[in-house]
Amino acid sequence: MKKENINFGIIISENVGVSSALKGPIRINPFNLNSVVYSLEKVYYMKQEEKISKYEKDLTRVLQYTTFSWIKNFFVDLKRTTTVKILIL
Amino acid sequence: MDINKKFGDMIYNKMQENDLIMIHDVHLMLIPSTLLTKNTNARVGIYFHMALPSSDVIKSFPYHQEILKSILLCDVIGFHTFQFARNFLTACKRLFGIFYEIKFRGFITLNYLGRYIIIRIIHAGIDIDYIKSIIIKKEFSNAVELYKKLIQNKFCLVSIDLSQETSGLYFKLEGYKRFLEKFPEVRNKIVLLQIIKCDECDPVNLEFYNKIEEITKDITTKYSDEVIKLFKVEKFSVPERFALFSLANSLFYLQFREGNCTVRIFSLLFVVCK
Repeated sequence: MKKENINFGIIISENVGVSSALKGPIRINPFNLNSVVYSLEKVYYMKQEEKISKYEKDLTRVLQYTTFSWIKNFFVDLKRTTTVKILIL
Repeated sequence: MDINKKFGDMIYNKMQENDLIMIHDVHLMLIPSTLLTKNTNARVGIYFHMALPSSDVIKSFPYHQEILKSILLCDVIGFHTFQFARNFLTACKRLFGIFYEIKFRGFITLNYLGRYIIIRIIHAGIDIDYIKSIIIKKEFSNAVELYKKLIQNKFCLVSIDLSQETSGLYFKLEGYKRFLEKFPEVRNKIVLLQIIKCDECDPVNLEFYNKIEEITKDITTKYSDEVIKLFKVEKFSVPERFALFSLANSLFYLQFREGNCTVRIFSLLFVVCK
């Protein structure tokens, strides 16, 4: 993918869970109409360099945390708890 | 309760020793209590895809004690973000007086009836190979061409929402309207593609959709038809969704309260589609 072609900008409500998982999105309070307008302006007039830097930050994070790693980590924890249980007993 | 019991019985019948069981989401919260009364050695984990409300709201549930006790029978409890986990921990503290401890390597644990329960904060990611397999498909390229015609080199905002009060569509459209008012030079260069998933059979959904349609009519009569496009769909297929994400300039989500199951995965897809 060419860097000039990257189009990237996410506006998201701060109440949504994903907002704390990614760094790129612009977080706003949906009840505040002024902030909605402001964020739209910000996204529309965003510079290309800023878009690329945000995109790259988020991409590394998304590639790091896949579905596979999610399930794997969960089950690793499940196994670990049982070992703790045995130790206590 | 009945359904949860049936699920629990089914799992108990098929279960073998050393099996790890993972339960997903709030609908099946009572499975641990039905399952673990029969087999106390089972290793069960539960994961919440939805946003968990604060402890005051949890208190107002009928049968909240049974539900929380059932959850506390699990060995691992998973949440998307720390915010939801904290809500759960506060509820435990207020209702049962169980305090959490932070153990080595940053584990958060609860000690309930002599057992240690791990609270795990971890978010579900996306399957990259699955997305790659869909991008090759013919439906994807067809959908891309279809949406390219709609967008025509404009700055494109995209949003996919359910037809519910909590999807924040009022504020979104009102904010968009003000934005157009404030910046007249933008009006010819921007388009908002709003896709609403609406169930025809549900009167509440339909009513809400009609309200939204009125607001969009206001906008289109004031400016032009090109500024906003509203789609009402019953089902939005995966290749279509990806095509839309790959073309869009910006994603525009304003839900009041939403777990991560839909939105986060949408936006993560958005990141990778580029």
